[in-house]
Amino acid sequence: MRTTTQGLVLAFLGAVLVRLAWEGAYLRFVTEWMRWPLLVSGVLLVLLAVRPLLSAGQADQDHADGVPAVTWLLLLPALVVFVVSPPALGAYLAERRAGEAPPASPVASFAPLPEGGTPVLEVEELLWRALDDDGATLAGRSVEVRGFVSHGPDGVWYVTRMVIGCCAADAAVVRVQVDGADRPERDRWVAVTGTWQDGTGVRAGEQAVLAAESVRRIRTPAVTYG
Amino acid sequence: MLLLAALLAQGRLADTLDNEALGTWCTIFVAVVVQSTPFLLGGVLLSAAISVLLSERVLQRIVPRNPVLAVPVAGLAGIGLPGCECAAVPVAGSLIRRGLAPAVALTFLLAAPAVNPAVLVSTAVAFPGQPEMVLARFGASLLTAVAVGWWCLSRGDRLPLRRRPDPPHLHGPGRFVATVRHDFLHASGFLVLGAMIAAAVNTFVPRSVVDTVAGQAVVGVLTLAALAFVVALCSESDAFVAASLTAFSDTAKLVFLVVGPAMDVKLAAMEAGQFGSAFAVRFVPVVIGTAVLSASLVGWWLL
Repeated sequence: MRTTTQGLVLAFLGAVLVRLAWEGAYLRFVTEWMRWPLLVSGVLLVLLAVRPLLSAGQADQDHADGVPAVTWLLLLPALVVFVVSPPALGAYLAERRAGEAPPASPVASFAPLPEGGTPVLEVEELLWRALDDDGATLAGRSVEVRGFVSHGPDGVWYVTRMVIGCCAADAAVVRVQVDGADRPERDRWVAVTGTWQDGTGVRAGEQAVLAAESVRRIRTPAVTYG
Repeated sequence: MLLLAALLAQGRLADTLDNEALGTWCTIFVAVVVQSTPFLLGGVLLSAAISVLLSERVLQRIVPRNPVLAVPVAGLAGIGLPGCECAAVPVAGSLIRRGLAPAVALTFLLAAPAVNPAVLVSTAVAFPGQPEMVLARFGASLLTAVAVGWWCLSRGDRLPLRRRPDPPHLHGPGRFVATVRHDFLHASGFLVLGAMIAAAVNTFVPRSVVDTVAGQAVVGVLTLAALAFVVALCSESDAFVAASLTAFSDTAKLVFLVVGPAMDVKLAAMEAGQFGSAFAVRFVPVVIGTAVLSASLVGWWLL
């Protein structure tokens, strides 16, 4: 790889990182706190490219500092972002990972839900509350959960979220089954108001079910991961 | 030319690749690269700082003269580098370039991603009410790093470690920048290669296929060791994945947590690039074997 090419590869990757962090598209891949590290890294990579790019046309081009052939692969992630613009993880992976256990609850027990109205719960919290004391804090309450739609066999559907720790590679699936409402198309973001069905999801490995009162479409949020 | 082709093809390619599985692979692949690049760059900056600032004399004064003693010291020094494993590879490379015994630098490479505070805290969060898991992870990872370090020491010069040529000889700030660029260009391609494989495993192999062997003690341990190698997660988030593998015994989960930061497909590719493939072919199986053994022992004792 010629010195000028090395510079181009670095600058391309750097520019793509800056663009991802700047426009917010990085949220499809990593968590929110990565924004500044990505901006700084992108700018540094572009700066690293300055000297090789300036040296274009100089005599010592071809026997410059050699790099392994595998360095060409560095173009691939930047090209993929640029050409394919991969979407946030959605129903496809959620359906494939359906059998896996959701993350453990960070607290041993939950305080009662706020009095009155329809509290909005994270899907994850709904699952944890169902596991806590046989779902005592959920019994008889109408709640709202938001997430994307994933499908199961025989017309079953779920409000689903992907929860990530570091990046999309460690995504875990959390989902609650929705009964009593028409099944929307996959990957559609919805807000479902309903009542937790007594006795569902109270043991690890069982599926929590929400009896729907209403389902409305919502816009895909900026941060799709939990 | 390539850029021009990409520009022209943007719309059409996006349609052709509108396939959910491929899209998911792309997302996970880019995610691994995007997550690792700042850490790799940080590691490369640190390693350039070591190359430029830390003279061989100073290094010799800090590190115990006796390498048998220096190995556990290097293991404990790993507590001080709170980064992902990608950062540790170039740092170990530059420590060897500075004349540190390879066994000592490799011990640091194995310990740093596993025993630093960020990893231990995330382990404590992922396993609420099980502080013994944190202790077991710390102990088993340190044991692995030190044991492999001593093994390297006993192999001595028979270890086919390739020392990469020094970056171009310059002085002052120019040398620092050239070292950073040189190290980044040498390591990053291997990181991308590892990310491609890890993303393929994450996308196309559902983790539930491993659940079928969860009941068997030995097979369960070996399966999670293999899983840790191929999925190549960040050491700061792997505890959450381990905690979700509820069908497995705690010892098998510990094996997952000890093997992952020490060796995975991404690290193996980067180490083959840094130290040569003849070295990686010996080093990778030894690290995995040692990690499985030490995690099983510690797990049997503590969990």
